Amino acid sequence: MIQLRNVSKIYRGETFETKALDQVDLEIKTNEFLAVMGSSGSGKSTLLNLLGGMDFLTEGEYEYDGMKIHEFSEKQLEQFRKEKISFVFQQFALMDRYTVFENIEMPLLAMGIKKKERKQIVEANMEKLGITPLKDKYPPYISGGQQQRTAIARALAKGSELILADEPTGALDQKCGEELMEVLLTMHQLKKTIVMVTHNEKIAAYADRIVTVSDGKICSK
Amino acid sequence: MRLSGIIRLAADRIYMHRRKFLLTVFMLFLSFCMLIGVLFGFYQYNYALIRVNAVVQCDKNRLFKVEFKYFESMDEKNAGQFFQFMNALYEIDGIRAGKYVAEPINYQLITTQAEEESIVSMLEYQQQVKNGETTLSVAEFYENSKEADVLFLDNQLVDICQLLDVNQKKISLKEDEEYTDMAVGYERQKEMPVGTRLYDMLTGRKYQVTQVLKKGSAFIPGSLFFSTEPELSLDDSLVTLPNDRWIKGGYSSVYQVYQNNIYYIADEKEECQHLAEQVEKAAKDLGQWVEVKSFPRLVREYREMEQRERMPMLVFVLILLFLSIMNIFLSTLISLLSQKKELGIMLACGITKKEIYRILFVENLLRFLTAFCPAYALMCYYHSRGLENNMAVVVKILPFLIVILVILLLIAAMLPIFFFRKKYPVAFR
Repeated sequence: MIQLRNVSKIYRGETFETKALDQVDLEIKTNEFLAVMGSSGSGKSTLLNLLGGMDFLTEGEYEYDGMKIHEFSEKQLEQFRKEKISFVFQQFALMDRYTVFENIEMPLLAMGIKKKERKQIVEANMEKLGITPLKDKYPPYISGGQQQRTAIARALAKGSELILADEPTGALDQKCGEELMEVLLTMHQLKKTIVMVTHNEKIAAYADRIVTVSDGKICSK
Repeated sequence: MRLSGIIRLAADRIYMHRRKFLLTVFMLFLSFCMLIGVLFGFYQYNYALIRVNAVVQCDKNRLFKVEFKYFESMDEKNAGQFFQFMNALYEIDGIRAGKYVAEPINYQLITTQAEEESIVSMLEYQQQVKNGETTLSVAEFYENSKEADVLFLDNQLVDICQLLDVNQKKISLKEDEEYTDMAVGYERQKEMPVGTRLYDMLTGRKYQVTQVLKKGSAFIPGSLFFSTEPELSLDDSLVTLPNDRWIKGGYSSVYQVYQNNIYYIADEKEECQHLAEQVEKAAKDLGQWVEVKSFPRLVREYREMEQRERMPMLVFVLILLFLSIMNIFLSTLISLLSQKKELGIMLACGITKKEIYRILFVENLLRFLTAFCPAYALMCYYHSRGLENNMAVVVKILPFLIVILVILLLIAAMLPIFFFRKKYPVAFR
């Protein structure tokens, strides 16, 4: 269970101050598939960053399964991200000089998992997403849809409970986007909590619940 | 993340950016070659600065002295030239004939003229053994030494007497030992009072102690060249240089200098002058490796040489060191800045910042070692050629290089990462 209470995020520069999120209250149940919609600059990516422990709250409270994330130090946040969170980005965020296999393997290396076990996990997840033939290929040489599947396989391989997807279909055409959403639904069935940011209503419809963010506030839940 | 994971990721990243890696390593290699080469050259320059210097003195006791300084290690050519000079001295008119005796003021030669003619020096004996011209064993060769109280090698006679002066100790050598070069240590055990009979195994001559100076007198071995004035003889006219190291202290203790003195008693002062001229001529004939000069001139020249040559070299070394550090620092920093995206993805994958810094550190370390080790090996090889005592120079320079290595490593590996943290893609506060 994820709870955000009176959460605000203010970015302060030398000559400006921007309130990206303003007194946001949000509750996300375990195993829920939540879509966050909003126009550009509405604060949805900021919300995702806060949920993923990539940034600190300016005000408010963030609880994750009873853990007070807003009180965590930088080191604790790193550990939290390592254990609980996986990310899927719009531009896939794959390392071009690593193969598909190595990209999926990366988080497992970070967790200190042994080689044999890593191989098993990576191969299993590649099988699930139907990208086994792409094992030794490099990201620039595969399609967008395949790249995004690789990114999702990487997120799955880590075994995190919470998957944060920032416009996962943004760089894909409609057909690929729909295929990808089927994959995400499959992940959801594997008892993962998914928070997806999108500006596409059709894509958002795949979720259990849609939340709209506008000018840093949550308008509908 | 396990250490193996960190090393593997670092190695992977190096492989992926191998062209950049090789280019950086090459630049570092050149920097290290220059730096290490200059450091070696710095020592070898000092090595080369000091050649054989013969100091010719005549004091009012008509004691004519030729004093040499030369290196422990010389290549064959230079050693050959030096010994040619030694032989030339012995050929100087009158000296060989026994008119002049090798006799410092505190001991005297007691070998008779008849004995002189039959003496086979140790060097001659060794040559005979080599050529198979003799069947005498070392012990048989040293038969004459049975009557002696103390055995020694010629060029240590002054050392012995100087030690006597200060420590009142007798020096003895083991009879059955074979001596293959002139640099032999000896055991200091007992006193050597007036009347003690000394046997010089090198030349076969016999001596007797005639005078023991009081403790605390001028002949103190091993004193610093620059911190003390040269010791004077009893009558303040004969200058004796310290017999241990000509340059001592700090890194200059690389050099082991030998002193080989020839003392002669001349009948008249004019004969002393004549001898001095003959020595100078012998030196000139042999060319650049031997130069006859007065002691004050010797000291002055060396001091001037040091100021003139050493300081600029030291400044050059420091400039080069600074440039090398800047090279390492900037190339590392630029490399890091170009990898922001990749490092950001690693962060998103769950690799912590600390782990990322460790990966970067291992990469830098590998880059550094890949450049440094071949540079050091190459410079060691290049600069050790021509020196007999190769390892001594290499070993003695090693502590400084290790210190420099650690400093450069820290700068190369750590500082850019600290700078890079400010430019990191994820803002945390």
